[in-house]
Amino acid sequence: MLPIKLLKWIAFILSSLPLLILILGIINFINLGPNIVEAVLHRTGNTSLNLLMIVLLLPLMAKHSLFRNFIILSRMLGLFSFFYAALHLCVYLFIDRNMSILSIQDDFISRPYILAGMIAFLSITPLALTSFRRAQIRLKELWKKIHQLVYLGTASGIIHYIWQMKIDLSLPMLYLVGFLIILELKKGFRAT
Amino acid sequence: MSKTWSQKLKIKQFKDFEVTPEDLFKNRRALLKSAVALGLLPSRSYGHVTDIEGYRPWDQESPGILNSYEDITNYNNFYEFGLDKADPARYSHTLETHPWQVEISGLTNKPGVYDLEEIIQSMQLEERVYKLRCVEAWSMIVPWIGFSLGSFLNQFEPQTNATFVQFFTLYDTDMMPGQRSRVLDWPYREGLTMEEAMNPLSFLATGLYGKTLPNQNGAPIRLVVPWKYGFKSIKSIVKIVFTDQKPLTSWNQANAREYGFYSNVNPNVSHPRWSQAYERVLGQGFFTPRVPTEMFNGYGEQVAHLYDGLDLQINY
Repeated sequence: MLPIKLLKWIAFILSSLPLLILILGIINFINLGPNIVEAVLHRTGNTSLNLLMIVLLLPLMAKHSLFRNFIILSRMLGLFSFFYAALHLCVYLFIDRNMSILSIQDDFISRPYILAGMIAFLSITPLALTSFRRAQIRLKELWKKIHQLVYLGTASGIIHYIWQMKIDLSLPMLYLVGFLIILELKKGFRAT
Repeated sequence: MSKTWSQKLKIKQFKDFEVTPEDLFKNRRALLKSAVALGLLPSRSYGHVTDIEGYRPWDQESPGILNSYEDITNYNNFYEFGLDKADPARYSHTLETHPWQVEISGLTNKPGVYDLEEIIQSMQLEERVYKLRCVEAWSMIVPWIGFSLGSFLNQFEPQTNATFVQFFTLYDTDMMPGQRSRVLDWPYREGLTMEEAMNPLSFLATGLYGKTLPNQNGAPIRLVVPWKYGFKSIKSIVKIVFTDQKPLTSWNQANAREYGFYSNVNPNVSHPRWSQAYERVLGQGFFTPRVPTEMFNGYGEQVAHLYDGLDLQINY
């Protein structure tokens, strides 16, 4: 097993890498293609969802002796996921839509994938807000209940991903299958 | 609204001199080539592109600032080579475009299989600087080289009952490996009404930026219909059929609710899953906002009459 401190540093650096790439892309140090805004939206969205999936995997991995201490990464990776989701939302609102209220309103009413994305973001927000230890101690059982929202957040995130695809659903469907497998495994573990 | 917007842009940004002169971009290409040779730039495949001589350069106002050759050739929707925008530039080298034949059939007096080299030699090549508006709500300005579709089609004497014309892309899973995955019903097919095809704006491109088309942009010959969403502008054409039936078109077959036969650029008819009111002009910085999309992509004066009496909300 890796020492906890090292583990945390590795996780921190790996989770920061996508941000570093985006910053380098925005200042034109590396080439993210001619549609930078789209590239940033896709990258922040993907990173956020990937991190959520990993967070869901951690308790399952902890069953294995080799990864027992990986569970302590939940908070950090969850917060990183929220951070990338917030970035994703901000780029959509302030850069892509340029705060055009009309076009955002239009999006909300007629584009279900935007709604799914909002549900995902709103479901993981309370998790981020109650992520510190004192909240966990104070809220006790309620904290556990609140943090079940991670499943709603991931599910709506995947739906958001599926719904905006133009034609090829294979990659987002892979996420969906992965998510369902995680749910199933979790059930199995609870039963035993 | 669209008038004032386009006028404003014309005054503010879009001047003739902003269309890169031929010698300048030839120099730029040479510079790029040497940069690649020196290992300063990643080498990308442009197939065997060669300079095109003796075409009539574009002498009208540009619809915007030209996108760079790099942008135009590295951000492509060409699912025959993969679904990512960068895939066609990476993987289209498998397409062999010499020799190339185009079959003309259906309601025509001169059906047959024609050699593309001969076709090109018989046509007066000219440059057209057009705005390409993708259904995904982005746009770019491309200096195409080719010839008018109408004058080309007229050579084959379409019969008077021919009301539509259909186009087919090559079907060859070795040269176009993306066709092994059934995302669309291959071969890719597109169609226009005869009236649309005969409109002077309709264009067959065999080159861009003074050179023959790179594979990723639809070599060796592709359609360009600038008032319609980009997917109407079918690439790597091997077959053209004159018909009296409304032809099948690939995206319409894949999802009729989202992609109509006409697919004219229309800011007032949203795609069911995203708005078409605004578009992102490619090649701009991260903080550059979207711009409003124009009816018929700004080509209304030349084409709006084609749709008189047609409800564009229904016939999208």
